[in-house]
Amino acid sequence: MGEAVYCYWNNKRVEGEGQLSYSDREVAAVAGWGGIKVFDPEIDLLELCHEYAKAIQRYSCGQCMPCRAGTSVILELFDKLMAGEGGPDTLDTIKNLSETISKTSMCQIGQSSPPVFIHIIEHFRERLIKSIQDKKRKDNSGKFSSILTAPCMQACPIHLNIPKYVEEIKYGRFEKSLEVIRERLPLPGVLGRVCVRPCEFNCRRGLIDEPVQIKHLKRFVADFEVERGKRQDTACAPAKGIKVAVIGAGPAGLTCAKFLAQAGYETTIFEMLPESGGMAAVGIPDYRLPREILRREVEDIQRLGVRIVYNTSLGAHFTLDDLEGQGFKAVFMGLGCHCHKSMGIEGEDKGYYGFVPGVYFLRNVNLGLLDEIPKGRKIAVVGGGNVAIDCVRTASRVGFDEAHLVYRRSRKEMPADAVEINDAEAEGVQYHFLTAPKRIVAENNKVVGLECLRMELGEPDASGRRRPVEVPGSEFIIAADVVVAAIGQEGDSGCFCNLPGVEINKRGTFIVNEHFMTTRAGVFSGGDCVTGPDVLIRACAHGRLSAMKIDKYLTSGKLESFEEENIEGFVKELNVYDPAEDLQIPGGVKRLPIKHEPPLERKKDFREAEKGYTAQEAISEASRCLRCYRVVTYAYK
Amino acid sequence: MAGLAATLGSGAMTNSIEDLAEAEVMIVIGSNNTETHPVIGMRLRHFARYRGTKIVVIDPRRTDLVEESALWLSPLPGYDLALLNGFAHVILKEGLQNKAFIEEHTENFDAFKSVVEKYTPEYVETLTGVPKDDIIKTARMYATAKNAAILYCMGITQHSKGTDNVKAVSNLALLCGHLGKPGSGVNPLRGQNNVQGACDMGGLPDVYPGYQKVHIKENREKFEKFWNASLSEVPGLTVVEMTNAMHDGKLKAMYIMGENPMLTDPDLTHVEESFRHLELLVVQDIFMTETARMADVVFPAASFAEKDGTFSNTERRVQLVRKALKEPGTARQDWDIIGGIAAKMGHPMPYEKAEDIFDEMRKVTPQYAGLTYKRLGMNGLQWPCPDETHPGTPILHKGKIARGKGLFAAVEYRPSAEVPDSAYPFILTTGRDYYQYHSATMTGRVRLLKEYCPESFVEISSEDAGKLGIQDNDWVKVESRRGHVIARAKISDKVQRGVIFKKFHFAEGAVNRLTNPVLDPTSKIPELKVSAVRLEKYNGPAVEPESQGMCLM
Amino acid sequence: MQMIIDGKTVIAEEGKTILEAARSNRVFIPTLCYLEKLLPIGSCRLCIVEIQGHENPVTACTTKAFDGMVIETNTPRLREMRKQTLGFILQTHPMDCKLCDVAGRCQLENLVKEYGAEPPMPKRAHKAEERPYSTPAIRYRPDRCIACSRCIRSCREVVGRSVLDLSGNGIGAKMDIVAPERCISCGECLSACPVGALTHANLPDGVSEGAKKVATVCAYCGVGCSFELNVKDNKAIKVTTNDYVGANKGSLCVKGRFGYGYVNSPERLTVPMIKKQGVLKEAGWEEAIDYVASRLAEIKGKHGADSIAGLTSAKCTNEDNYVFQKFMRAVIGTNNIDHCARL
Repeated sequence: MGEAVYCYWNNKRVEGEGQLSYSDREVAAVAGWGGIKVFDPEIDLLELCHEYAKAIQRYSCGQCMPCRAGTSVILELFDKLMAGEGGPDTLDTIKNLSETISKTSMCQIGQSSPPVFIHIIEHFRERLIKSIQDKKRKDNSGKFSSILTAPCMQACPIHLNIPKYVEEIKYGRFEKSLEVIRERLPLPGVLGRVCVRPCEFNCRRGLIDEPVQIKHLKRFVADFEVERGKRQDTACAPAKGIKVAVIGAGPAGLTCAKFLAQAGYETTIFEMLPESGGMAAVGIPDYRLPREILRREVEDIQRLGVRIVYNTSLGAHFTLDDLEGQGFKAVFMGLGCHCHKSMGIEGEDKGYYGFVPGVYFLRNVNLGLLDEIPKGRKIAVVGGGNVAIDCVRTASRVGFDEAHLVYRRSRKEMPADAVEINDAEAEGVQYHFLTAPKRIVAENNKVVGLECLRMELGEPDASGRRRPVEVPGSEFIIAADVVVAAIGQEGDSGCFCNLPGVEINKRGTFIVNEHFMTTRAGVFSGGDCVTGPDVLIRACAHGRLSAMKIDKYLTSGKLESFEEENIEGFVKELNVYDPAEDLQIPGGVKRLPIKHEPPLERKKDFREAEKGYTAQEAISEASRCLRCYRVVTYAYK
Repeated sequence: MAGLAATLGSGAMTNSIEDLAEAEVMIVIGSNNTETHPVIGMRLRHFARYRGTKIVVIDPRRTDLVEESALWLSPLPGYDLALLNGFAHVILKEGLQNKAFIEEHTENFDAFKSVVEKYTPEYVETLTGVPKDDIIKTARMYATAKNAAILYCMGITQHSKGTDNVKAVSNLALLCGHLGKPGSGVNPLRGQNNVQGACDMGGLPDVYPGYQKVHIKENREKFEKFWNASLSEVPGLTVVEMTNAMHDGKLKAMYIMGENPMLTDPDLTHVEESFRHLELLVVQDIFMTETARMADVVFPAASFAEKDGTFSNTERRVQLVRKALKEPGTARQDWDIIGGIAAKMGHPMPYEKAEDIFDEMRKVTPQYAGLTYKRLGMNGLQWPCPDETHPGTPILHKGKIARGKGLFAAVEYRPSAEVPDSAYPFILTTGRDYYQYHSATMTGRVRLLKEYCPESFVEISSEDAGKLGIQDNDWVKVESRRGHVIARAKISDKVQRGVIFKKFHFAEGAVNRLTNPVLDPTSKIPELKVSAVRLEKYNGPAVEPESQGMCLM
Repeated sequence: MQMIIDGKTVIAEEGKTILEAARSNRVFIPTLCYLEKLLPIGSCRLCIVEIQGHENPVTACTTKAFDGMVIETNTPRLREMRKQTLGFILQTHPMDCKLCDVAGRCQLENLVKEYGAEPPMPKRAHKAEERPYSTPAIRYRPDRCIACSRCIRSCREVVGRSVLDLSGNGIGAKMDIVAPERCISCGECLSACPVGALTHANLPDGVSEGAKKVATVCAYCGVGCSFELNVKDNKAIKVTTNDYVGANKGSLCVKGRFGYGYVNSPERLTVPMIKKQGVLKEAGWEEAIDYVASRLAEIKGKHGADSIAGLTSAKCTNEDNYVFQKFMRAVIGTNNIDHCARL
């Protein structure tokens, strides 16, 4: 536990309290856009400044004159101070330079970094002068490290270098942009379509007008490659001759397999379905994610030497022990959450024809098993998430004339993506907000309707959303031939519970340590089967980290935190994105809207509903990026 | 030229370089414009990347533009027509044609439709070697684009059926109504700086300035009156016909202004022999060219840098050339030399300056009527420009096709005059190099350009080279039914199996000793792009010393 | 769209940047990295302006103008910032303008003079440097480079070749030749350089001083590019371009930009020649013209006009071509005229 010796952060000066740590590492000092936090009295303030100045020069892209040359002048001045040349008056020069540079630089490296010196000189001038005058300086420079982050990067679960790939688009270097994405994410075309884009909600451009369309830019570069019929080659480490098994070809499994193969492992994926992609394939309809996009990206992973065995499921066809017996040295399980949660209402368990859980409905449509879908004219879907929206929009595409969505809270509480909610409405979906299902109405074992209750909003619950309360006696029936329950998913308890040595928690997901290893040595897991139903990009992030952990485990026999994980922990506490920030620059350039297929035409088939950007549009949208890179320098105790 | 004039009523490029930016899809066929029209090549690369233009390159060679293209189709040389008809077939079969446009602006559609009936993607694939999926994809892209343009060059025209090729290109544009709009049109790229102008000025055997046919009485009478002379009603001979007429002794005298047929014409062995039959050869040039050496009289002329005048570029843009230097020695303006001889022969041409000529010319050339030196200014103007208030015409066929109705041509694929056989198993195709220009009369004298392209290689696919035991840089002998050349081999992934490629700028190893002088019956353009040849490693006496003179001096 | 720039109410087209709006109203805002044909990046930071209601200055080249904006382009604060930014450039850029080929035309030199900029720190001794470039046609002096990236962006955006890139970081970031094999020596980079970092390799410093520029048209291919032939002592010494004219808008290929040397060639024909006993011998104009005129008349008389043919030229002007075909048709009396359009 550290105690802040002195601290100035986001216009707040604190002395004598606070802490910053992550797992086993405790931070001694950190300098960044908001100021400094020093937790260790041994830290030499001048040295911290010097290291920070070095870091700025290291991360300065060299494009704009003030940052490129100005911060090098600052570094030279600190070099001199470190060498015992120059005195306190140098500080005024540094302060003046810092002011100019921060006002005139092109991006946030030059804008947000030099103010750190201003803060230090203004608030800790005495300490700094003392430090300058202390001639018995020890060289501690090895103690310091620096990183580059940005609000969007920090928000992205897989920490894509977003400013970089957006900038490459701005310059027309679409292939380079894609390379940057692929350094961390093997599914750019998929995520470029279906990501829930936490980055955009942390985009500083949004503070002056609207966030950059980051997701669509990612899609653009992925599509550009498809349009040109090109493929990028990824270099793999020399083959290690070690076999690793990945169970489940979903986003987590695919990402994990890619990085394992890249590290030189002989990687085999076992997939229970006849198709790769997991939820991306069977949970997301083709009008949102065309199958050939997914398949192409899976092919790219296979081109690295990854083998995929289809129609083979854990439990039914093989066990973890079998894998061990076959010489697999480690296993990654990315099993997902493919089972539905029950609504707990009357009629749900009666086996009526016409009642179907959302996940099965979507899976059957996506696998082309249309005969398995109950037939009818009207459909009612229960739920407010993306799966519910997917079901209700798919309905018109498989022949339903009338689609209803029943949700117990109001529109603004719906967890589904607002864009999706609007698109569904355009396609004629009828919403029933503040409505809860009460009973499935059936005749002759066949669904004929859904009895519902009106709700009203009461006091906020634990999630902060206002709790819906039943309006007594408000029952009414929505006529429907098919009722779909899409209120959530969970892991396959039948499978999860029967894995020897692998323990599950009370939510029914695997227990893993901070290194993604389950309670069984050598068996790792990530994605929805660990977190419960969650977003695709997080599954990919787990897959990537798990591959790195497995590599570490197999090469050194040890498991330990990577520096990027440590940093993630404490940088999060520094709040890279400040929604209250006033940028003091004009906005007014709205994001370039996405073009759609006409709703009444698209709702009849599975053509992709959204259209991609043209090159010109992509370049213009990418130019809206403010390049909010932040330099952070830190030292551990 | 002849092809487009017949189908659309004008043989020139329909669009401007600038408005091509509006094209969503662009088919570039038989045009290695990165090397032949470099600034257009740059623009296309820019459009492909920064404007999202989808470019389909159709070329037997992997040209530079392929890198920025959405699709590259590589038919064997000589099969373009089959491919073009294949696109039309797909468009019709899938109902993607522009029915309203066809109805309102075209004729002869049914004849065309029945001809393309048999060009199914499968059939075209067996003929051309282009996968049928690519044929279908290209056809769809072209037909469904809002604006789509076709660019072509000598790869389409230098064939024994070049006119038909051009007509097939024009068919596609008519079929989809891709004409008369920014980014929509048919665009032949003209080779030399003033080919367009030389044609416009009547430097052709069958037309007076402004494409007015010599055999039409009214035209002849107009010019007889204007020039105060009696004129011949018989269309004259074309370049290659002239060579044959020389050979047969029918042509006795030849006056050549600024051309070097001793290098650029096909079947050079025959050309050289023919020139020896002449009684009088007069050459007017800036250098002692191969042709000038054979002349009885050589006149020293001014170069472009020493001239006032106008050039007309490939977009029909008439631009001012201004005199920057004094002529070297006693050299004179080309028009002034001609004028001197005319005066001696009793027909004085008392022009004082280039502008006088221009002003005379525009009186009888309707397309140029509205142009004056003053109006041309810095940017020039694009013809047709019928009067002095007309702003010029950046896009042809706007609203209405020049011919009235666009003529669909029912053209069938025919094999090239020479197809590979067991004796001559390779197809030789020819082209230009970026660093050199035409017969290298000019570029050969620029040290920098010479450094880049000191000699001309024969490009061979690695597969063929392997089979023949040829290594990179080996000397090879390329032989056709007409002659042979010896040159170094360059193993290249730009050419496909069975095809070899050579550039035509150099006297040494001049590729036109091999090429076939067979002509397209209409345009009289020789089939420079397809000749059957055989190839072998050359182990004879060293040719190295000669190769140092590769660039013409 | 109406706005106020430096206290004056001005009108500008919708969708324009502040820089475009200002320039269209003849308000001069200094720039170094901006070229109209390139995508604006705002890296030189000289075109900063102040927008009323916002504390931080923004670059005029990358900021869209809006109706009702109140813009200041030349306040003391902005001038001071520009002066400091120029000073940062001078920290590494030598001011040996007397030695530089672009002296007088250098955009940096002019701005430094206007703003009285000076480097913030004493400068280290400067070493002139010359490094091999991707083409022998261009001389590259990295010590003069200000990393404005105009060459890099020209090569990438206009020419589509990406031969150059910025490599390194911070003060070490330099224009670098990353793909020399892709260079086509078109010289787009050369014409984009605002300082003397890229110059004509064949011209010693100072030679182009006093040269006369003549706007004309390239004589190579059918694109018909406009350019200015720079002439001194009746020799063509270099070619420059104007981004706003012609079919090429300032772009050229290697032949257009560097291929003019043949006009100065000592091998140019300077006197007429007549073949005597199989050898071409120099002759007077009078003699040569008489000879040709009489021989043509003789052959026409003996064999008819159609026994004579002429090849006109796609390299000559329209005027030459018109006169030539008129000569063949009206004087000789034949239509035997062609040129090599077909080849």
